[in-house]
Amino acid sequence: MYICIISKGYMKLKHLPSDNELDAAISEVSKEDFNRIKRDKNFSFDWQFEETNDVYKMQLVSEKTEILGLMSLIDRKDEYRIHINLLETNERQRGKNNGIDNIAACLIAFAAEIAIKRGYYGFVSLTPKTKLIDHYQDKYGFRQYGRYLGIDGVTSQNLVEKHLKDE
Amino acid sequence: MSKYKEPTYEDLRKKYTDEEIAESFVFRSTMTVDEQAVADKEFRKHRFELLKNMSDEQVLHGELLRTKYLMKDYFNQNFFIDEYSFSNQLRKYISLLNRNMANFASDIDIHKTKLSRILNDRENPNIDLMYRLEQHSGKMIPATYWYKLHSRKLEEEIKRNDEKRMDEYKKVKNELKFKISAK
Repeated sequence: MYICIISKGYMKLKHLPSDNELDAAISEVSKEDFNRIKRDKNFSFDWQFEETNDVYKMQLVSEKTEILGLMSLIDRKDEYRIHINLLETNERQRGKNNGIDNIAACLIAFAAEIAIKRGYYGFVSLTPKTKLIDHYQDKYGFRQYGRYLGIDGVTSQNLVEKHLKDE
Repeated sequence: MSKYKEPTYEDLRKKYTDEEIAESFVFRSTMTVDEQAVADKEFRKHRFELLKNMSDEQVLHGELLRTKYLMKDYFNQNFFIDEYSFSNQLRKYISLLNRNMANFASDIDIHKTKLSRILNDRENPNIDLMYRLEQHSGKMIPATYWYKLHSRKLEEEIKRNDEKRMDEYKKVKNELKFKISAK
């Protein structure tokens, strides 16, 4: 019998204006979600274009009508890595002191956890815009590998332990 | 490609700082096919070099972390999977260490016969052993994880062991009987 263990991430987020902690969860985007996202003015990218990849959404546990962030992953088994193809947070939550903090960090930590579980030693890559390289390095600990940035090992573990809830 | 007019970095820069963009977006690659091929070739070289140069300690650390996170996923489910029984996970742990049973039994200060009985499901693990496993893994796999593996299997046995249930029912006297019942 084949049993699929569903990968679900749980985390605590901070609502910046009130400083309150909020419980959030990451799960796979369904077919219905793609239609919803298409109509959602708070997301600007064409997420249906990502449908062939593994696309995840982040939502508050208490408020499941709003998607806080989306992430599209490609499993590069041949190179033992998970590639973040696209990530976007809800427009309402972007910017300093505006909305909920650390949405992207939690999504990247979730990608790192997947890369650890698939036996890639936590290797997660992305293709950065040149002007953002320093920020990805400072904020998440990415290192440069040619045109790509990557994290692995203890850096990935630290991201997971900082942002995703343990038992 | 998409029919959408998707925002570019330059569009977003009018509204957000670079830091705010990095905290909200990872963009799709805009490299041409040729540029992508060159970038991929260069990246593969780095990636395989990195894998080749991993120390035994880094590999073991990575494998133990993987084991821990897979256990965590299992705990988030509601069903029992034999692969995640205490004995099977302990067997996996020992194989990752690449140590023989006698040496491992000595590491955690139990008799090798006892270890063998636990690995073959002829004896239940106790809490002492769970603490020792936590310490042995450099606290990577907490004692509570070992306990949860064991308790999930116990729960499954309690649910499924009808023969034992019937035997024990027969030993009970003056059981409570209710006229009202849940609908």
